[in-house]
Amino acid sequence: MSNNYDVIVVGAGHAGSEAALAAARMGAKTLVLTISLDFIAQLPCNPAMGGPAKSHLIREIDALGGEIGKASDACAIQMRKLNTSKGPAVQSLRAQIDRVLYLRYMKRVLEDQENLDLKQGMVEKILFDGDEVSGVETELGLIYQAPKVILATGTFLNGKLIIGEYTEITGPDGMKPSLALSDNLHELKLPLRRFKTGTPARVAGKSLDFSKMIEQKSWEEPLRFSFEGEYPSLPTRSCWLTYTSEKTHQIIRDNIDRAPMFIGGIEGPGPRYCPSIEDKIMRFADKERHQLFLEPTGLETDEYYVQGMATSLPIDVQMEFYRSIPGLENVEIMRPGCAMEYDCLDPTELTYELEIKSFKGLYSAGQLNGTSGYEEAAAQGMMAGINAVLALRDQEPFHLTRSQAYIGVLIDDLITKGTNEPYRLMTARSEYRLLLRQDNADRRLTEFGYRLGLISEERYQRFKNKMVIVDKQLQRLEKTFLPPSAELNQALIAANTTPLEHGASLTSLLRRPQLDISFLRRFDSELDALPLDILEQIEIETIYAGYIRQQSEQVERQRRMESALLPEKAKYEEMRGISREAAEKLDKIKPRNIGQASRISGVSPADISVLTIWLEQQKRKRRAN
Amino acid sequence: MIKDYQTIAAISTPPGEGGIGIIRISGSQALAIALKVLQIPGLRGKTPKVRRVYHGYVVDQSKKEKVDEVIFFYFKNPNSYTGEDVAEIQTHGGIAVLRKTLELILAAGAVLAEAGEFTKRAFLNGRLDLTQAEAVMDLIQANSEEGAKQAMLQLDGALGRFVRKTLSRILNLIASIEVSLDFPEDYDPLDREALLAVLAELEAELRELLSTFKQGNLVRQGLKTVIVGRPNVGKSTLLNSLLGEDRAIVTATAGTTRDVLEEYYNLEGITLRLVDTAGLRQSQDEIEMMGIARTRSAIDTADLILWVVDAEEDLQDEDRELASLIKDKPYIPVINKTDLRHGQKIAADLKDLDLNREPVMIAAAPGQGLDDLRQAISQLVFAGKALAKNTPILTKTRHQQSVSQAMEQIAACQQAVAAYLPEDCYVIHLKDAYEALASLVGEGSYDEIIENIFAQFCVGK
Ligand SMILES: Cc1cc2nc3c(=O)[nH]c(=O)nc-3n(C[C@H](O)[C@H](O)[C@H](O)COP(=O)(O)OP(=O)(O)OC[C@H]3O[C@@H](n4cnc5c(N)ncnc54)[C@H](O)[C@@H]3O)c2cc1C
Ligand SMILES: Nc1nc2c(ncn2[C@@H]2O[C@H](COP(=O)(O)OP(=O)(O)OP(=O)(O)O)[C@@H](O)[C@H]2O)c(=O)[nH]1
Ligand SMILES: [Mg+2]
Repeated sequence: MSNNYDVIVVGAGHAGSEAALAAARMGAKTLVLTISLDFIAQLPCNPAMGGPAKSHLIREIDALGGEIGKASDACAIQMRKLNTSKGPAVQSLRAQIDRVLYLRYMKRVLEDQENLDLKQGMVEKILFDGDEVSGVETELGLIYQAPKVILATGTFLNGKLIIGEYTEITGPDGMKPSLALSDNLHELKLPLRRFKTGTPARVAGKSLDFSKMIEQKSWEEPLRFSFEGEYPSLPTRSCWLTYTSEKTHQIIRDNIDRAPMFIGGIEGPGPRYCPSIEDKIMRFADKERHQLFLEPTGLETDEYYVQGMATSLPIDVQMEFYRSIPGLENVEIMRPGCAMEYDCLDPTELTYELEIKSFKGLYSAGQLNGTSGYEEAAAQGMMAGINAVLALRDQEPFHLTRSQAYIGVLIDDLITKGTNEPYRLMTARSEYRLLLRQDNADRRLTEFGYRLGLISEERYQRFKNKMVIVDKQLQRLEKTFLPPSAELNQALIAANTTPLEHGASLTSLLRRPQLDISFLRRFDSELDALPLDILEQIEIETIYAGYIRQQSEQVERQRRMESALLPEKAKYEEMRGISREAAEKLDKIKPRNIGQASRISGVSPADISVLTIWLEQQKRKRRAN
Repeated sequence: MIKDYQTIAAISTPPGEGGIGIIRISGSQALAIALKVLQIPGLRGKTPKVRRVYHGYVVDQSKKEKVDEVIFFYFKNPNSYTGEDVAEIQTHGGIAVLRKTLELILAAGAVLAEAGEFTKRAFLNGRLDLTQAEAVMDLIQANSEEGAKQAMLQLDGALGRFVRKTLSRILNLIASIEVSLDFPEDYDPLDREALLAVLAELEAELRELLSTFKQGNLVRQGLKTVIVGRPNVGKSTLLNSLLGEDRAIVTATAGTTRDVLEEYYNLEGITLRLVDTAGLRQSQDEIEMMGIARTRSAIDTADLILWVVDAEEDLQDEDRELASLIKDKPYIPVINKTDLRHGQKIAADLKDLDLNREPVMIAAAPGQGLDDLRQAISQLVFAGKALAKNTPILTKTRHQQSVSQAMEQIAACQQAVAAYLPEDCYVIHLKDAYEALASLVGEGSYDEIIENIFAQFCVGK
């Protein structure tokens, strides 16, 4: 047996799994090393996938040929559509996931993957040949060699669990922490930072009084993340909504001096978008109650996750305040809520390929890069995996821009702006939201997935056919006129809109706010025969054509700025006419192009103008020589 | 905002002799935009020939009125100053017409050029040689620093306060929508009626602000402030000492100034168009008589008059005549040369005239009493309702452009809400409105919006 690989992935979380699958599917000989084979793609927090922006990421990964969408569909015990009335760009899916099934599913996919070896092992050291990576060494002294190593170690580096005054050095869910590797990264002079995250208690279903809560059921309509494959088929489970009481707030206020954030037990900043309940109550003092959901964590378990109630207060306080919530009067805590603190990297140390700038061949993905969330991790993993293989083959790197995908927004934000708290993707972070919809992720990305070798020929042909149909139909709708029949006019009046005097194109009818595509289907047999996903795209592209065009124009302008490449070796400090602050930032981030440079905070439009002139100056000097 | 790849326009020379001024438009849309504001009889619907001089009119299509008679010509890329398509329009009617023309061009789709932008494009398109690169870089950076300084000064006052307040209101709207989109489970759906109400309010406020620009010929083109008085009382000296530089010729000979001379002067953010005139007296000299006729017409069109008398002399019949000529205008009697004589005598004479105004005592040559004069002017100006000191006023084309963009976007947002378009479309308009206004105070980025969401809302697990 040989210990030589093309790519080694350290960690089998969401980032590691996608990274390894992408690399192996592209044909690279890939090894995954992870602390415990019983916890592959573990969901240490919310037993849920999706939601705005996150569900977009899942769709994008799926469109590129990743696994997270199919895995979620296969393990979903509840599917809902969010934001249905708020516009196509923010519509999203959210699924409750059976955690245990998910681990098993992902483990099996990794095991069955050609070119991929899955092994248990704690990596303690990264090996180098000069400045270039050459492999890793495990706690048992085993050495594995590869020119590309992807770190995807999540929250394990120097992990510390905190509940009140109690602290323990550990990985999440009682797994072993990763200590030696953290020391090794220190030795490599990689600046590590401390971030924090938290999770609520898991409670026993049998101790809950659901009659005091509001039920939230799975949708009847079949819904799925993946553009392909099976619709979820597992039995479904409901979530339950209830609210904190005045008493809850009182208990927390009375005990706030025992919270780790006050007694100094936590150093790192936590994400503001998922504050602990003690944080919420102190920061939003005038809010009378907070909502919470009890979420089932699986089919074969009675554990419920108390969404909205993350805490690291001492266990006695937790027991008291959880019981002050209607429906939880007799609740039994199975696992207490806790905070986790861990080491992570400053993402501005990374390139667009997620390669660490100072070490060739060393990549980093997932929570280690300062993000938070399964989907964010998976997206980075996939991109790191793809780029490691492309670099191995001396091929052009694979980038997605901000106008192509949320994956592009995520990575560009991270490496250009950095982050001071665990980064979570939101649709608000995208400037081209109307273009980056989840319904058109395949149109945006599947071509790339195919060219990378991640999408099968069969799937690609199906995709092409779908696009042909959508385009044809969009044209046909414009050219097809409905005559003003009595039946149509009656229906129009019934829908509160004006009847026709002359013929009207299907497009113009669809653009009437009172009408939708299901209305048109009644009067157009060709539309009536089309599947739902195609109808959805036709409807959106037609109704929002004006907005979509407007955003496309902005994208075009942006694209031109992105195509003005900046040399890696540019010395901004020495450049004339650039402000001092801008020069420092530019030297640190080393932007690839003018577009990226313009997004760095502290770089003004005047600095960009100067850079443009400088580029032209260099070009002419080169030509002169 | 980065303006590359957009079509830019600017006044490239202030009006010179005979009131001729040039507006230059550069970029791929230059010709199309120029043709939108022009009516060129010689063309008869054909495309103008390159480098050919055309005679025509600038037309305000919305009012169907001719703004000015102009000369127009057009250069095709790469053979132009900037290397892009360039259109040039020469106006004749002075500064007001020049500005009006620029406004029309901006409304037709051009964006106002940053200082140094034409030169920058010229360089990027190979129209300037390599040795000029560094000069261009210095120019850009210097302009941007200067611009920032100026913006700070201008936007410290009422306008700045208004813009910042409006920005934070728009930001709150965006944040409240965004949060309901990104955290649908934590936040209730938007209250459309409430949103419409806020939008209507914002639109009305912005519209009102814009109207100060329209009505405010006064402010924008400068309050026409005419200095009148008998010959040799020191009118030109007063103009020079207010400006702090010698613009008008000063001599001991009466009748030195023979034509009307205009200069801009900034008083507490309000532009005064200072007009020096020929001294009024009976005269036989033909040229001087023409000057005097112009003085009279200057008085007719004046927004404000500084009437200068000489402390050394007694009040003369010509002064009395002048007083009756200006009595219906806002004016300030100014007693000059108080360094030579205290001026009590002439002050008493003025009192006898029953003018009901306190004269201001100055000595223009050594520069005494100018602060008192400035204060008197500002009191007179700000006493008028339109120019109440705490109401924001738009005086700059650049500002007007930003505010009108913001207003259009707010209006479009209302339409989107009214048409039941989904909420993510609202944000597109609000964001554009925000960015347009933010460019005015040189602050604000989209990152702030994200920050704001977290600062205000309680979201998450
Ligand atoms: C307590 C807690 C609360 C959280 N709360 C939230 C939340 O509220 N919202 C949210 O979006 N996300 C939350 N998360 C984050 C979410 O779980 C992660 O973002 C996601 O799982 C990260 O994926 P990853 O692949 O980067 O890392 P992980 O899923 O953490 O995977 C890391 C992998 O690396 C392996 N590994 C580590 N070190 C080594 C080593 N030296 N050698 C070999 N293998 C190693 C581990 O075994 C594991 O397989 C929380 C996480 C925790 C622990
Ligand atoms: N001592 C003194 N001399 C002054 C003062 N103001 C003006 N003079 C002098 O008065 C003379 C006339 O000044 P001008 O400014 O030319 O007067 P004017 O009103 O413009 O005269 P015309 O243009 O001829 O109508 C010059 O010699 C000035 O130096 C003053 O405040 N003090
Ligand atoms: Mg004079």
